[in-house]
Amino acid sequence: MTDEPKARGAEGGPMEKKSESSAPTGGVTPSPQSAPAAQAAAQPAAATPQSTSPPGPQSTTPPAPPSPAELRSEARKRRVVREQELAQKLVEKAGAQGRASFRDQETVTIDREKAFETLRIAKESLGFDMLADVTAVDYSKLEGHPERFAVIWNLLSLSQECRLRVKAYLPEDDPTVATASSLWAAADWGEREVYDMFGIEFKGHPNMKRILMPDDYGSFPLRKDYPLRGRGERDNFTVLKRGQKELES
Amino acid sequence: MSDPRMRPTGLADEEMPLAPFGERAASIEPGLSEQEMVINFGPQHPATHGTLRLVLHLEGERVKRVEPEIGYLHTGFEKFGESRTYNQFIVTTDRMNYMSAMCNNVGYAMAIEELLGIQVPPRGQFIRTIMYELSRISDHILSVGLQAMDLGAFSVMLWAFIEREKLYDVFELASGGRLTTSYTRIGGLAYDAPDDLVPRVRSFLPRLKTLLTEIEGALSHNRIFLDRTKDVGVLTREDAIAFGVTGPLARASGVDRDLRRDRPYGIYEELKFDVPVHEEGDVYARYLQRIAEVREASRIVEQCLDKLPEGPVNALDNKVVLPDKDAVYTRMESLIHHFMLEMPGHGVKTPKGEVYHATESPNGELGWFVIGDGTAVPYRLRCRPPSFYNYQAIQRMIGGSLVSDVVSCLGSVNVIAGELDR
Repeated sequence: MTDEPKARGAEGGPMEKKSESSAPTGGVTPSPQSAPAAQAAAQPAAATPQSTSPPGPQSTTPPAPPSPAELRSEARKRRVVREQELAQKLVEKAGAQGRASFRDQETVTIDREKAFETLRIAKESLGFDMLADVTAVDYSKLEGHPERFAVIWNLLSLSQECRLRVKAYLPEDDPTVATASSLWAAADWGEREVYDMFGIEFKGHPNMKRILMPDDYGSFPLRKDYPLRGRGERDNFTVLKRGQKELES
Repeated sequence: MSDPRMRPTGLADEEMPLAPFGERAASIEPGLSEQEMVINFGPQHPATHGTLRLVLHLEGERVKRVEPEIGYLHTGFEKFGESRTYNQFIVTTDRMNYMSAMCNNVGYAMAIEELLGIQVPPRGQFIRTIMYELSRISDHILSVGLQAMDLGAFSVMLWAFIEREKLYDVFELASGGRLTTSYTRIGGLAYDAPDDLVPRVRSFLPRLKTLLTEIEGALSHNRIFLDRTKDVGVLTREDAIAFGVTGPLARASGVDRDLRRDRPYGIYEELKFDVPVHEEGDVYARYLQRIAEVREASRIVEQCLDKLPEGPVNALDNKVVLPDKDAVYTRMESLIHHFMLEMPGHGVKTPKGEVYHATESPNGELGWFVIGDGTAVPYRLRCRPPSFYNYQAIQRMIGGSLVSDVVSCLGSVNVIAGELDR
């Protein structure tokens, strides 16, 4: 299965130094500086200044360093380049805050006000036709993140076989963001689960209610301040105590 | 009970004066028309394959609208994962998908290895792939068997169960567990495969061929089965993509995508296999799809058995991979490494980063989104369950169909409630 099955763009050449760009421990740097296109372009292009240019002239110079990257196939390298280009395009088109890359996976960070617009651009002009997953993270116990919550849309382009994560930070006092359920039907349950677990509300969602927990649950279990055990375990049920004959009604 | 649909039924007429049906319906749910009836399908129903509940709005025998209610099996696996080390969580991945536990083991371990940036040696990869595909076979044949049982063909289910037992013997041979295998570890496997694994699997494959022939003989041209499955529960290609449906369901609807081919991981690049696709998107296409995928999976297993290399199964990284149990008991260094990996406050040092890794599980794209924070415990562990997104599309599949088709359709979706609710 070495041949690429799906459609691919004009790229295909410039993968010679790609492995080096991802090998060091990058760490997800959200890079909230607001110099938009220039700095965002600088991050991935540092290793491959020619990555945005048309197909490189010589494409068969594999890098020497013995790393896991060596084992990767050419197809995978081409895919990584493709994903980086798409991420860069999205950053430029949607005016995103920044872009991070870790283990060859791209994350584009956006303002939450621009969330819907960015996702619409990603779907309609960049071809991300599937929403693989919606999830959220409570960053309150992790250093280096501007806000407490982040919603992450895991986008997938079937025709180009590309993945991209779009991330929007939400403040603690107002965790709301626009819904993507009008773009992808998959967002319906995904967003309900995020609401259920984190209390993040998706504005404009047709049916914003709990999905996994009972409707009267009252708190949001995947928040970091929710204890692993103890709270809410038996609140809903009357329990027979020792020595007690009957349940109080 | 605040939910009016949960009102106890079966009361005698005196206890509940009989109002005209239209009024009664309106008292249950405002806006309900005279012809409309609301029934609960599940959570306890033999055809739901787990604790699923569907609220069906019926008009006569036709389903006008369906509201799936999920969460009955919610156990907080993701929250749990944030308090357990990476290796400890493997046990939980079994429970998430009890139909194909090996697939969850392997998928999870691969995601963590992606985060850590380590590579499993070839033998480990091959054994993992063998187990993965055997697990896929076990999931698919049982799913087809149960689907047939829901439609009244009981023998097929029993045939499938017999062969699944043989597969469970193989899993037991390798991992010691039958249903919940917990076979992988971060960086490799719990144990190397025993010598008689290869002959055991080889002797199983002809049995599988016979089984598939038998199933196809019983079902593929069976008038009753065809009537119950053809043009039933149709999911169009557009809907499949919009709802994020993956796996055999999507491929039965014409979405030509298989992660093993399109985004190869592990050793799938070295293997030759086809990705069957059906266009119809109905229950019958899903049945054909699963049978075809079992054939491909057995092809993959055969190739892996032929190519199975010698060598270590675990990555050679003492700071990440648990040492051999024998070595822990007999060697000082291994004991120290084991101790350092297992002690609270020590353990694997993960890089700080966010990784999403997906594998093609029997139900579709099983993704793991992991955030490492430098400690041995994940900061966030998100499972992208294929069943969750597949099941969401059931609203589209059974809207407008007959009540009896709901059963047929549910069987074909193969929802794993443990994974759906996590």
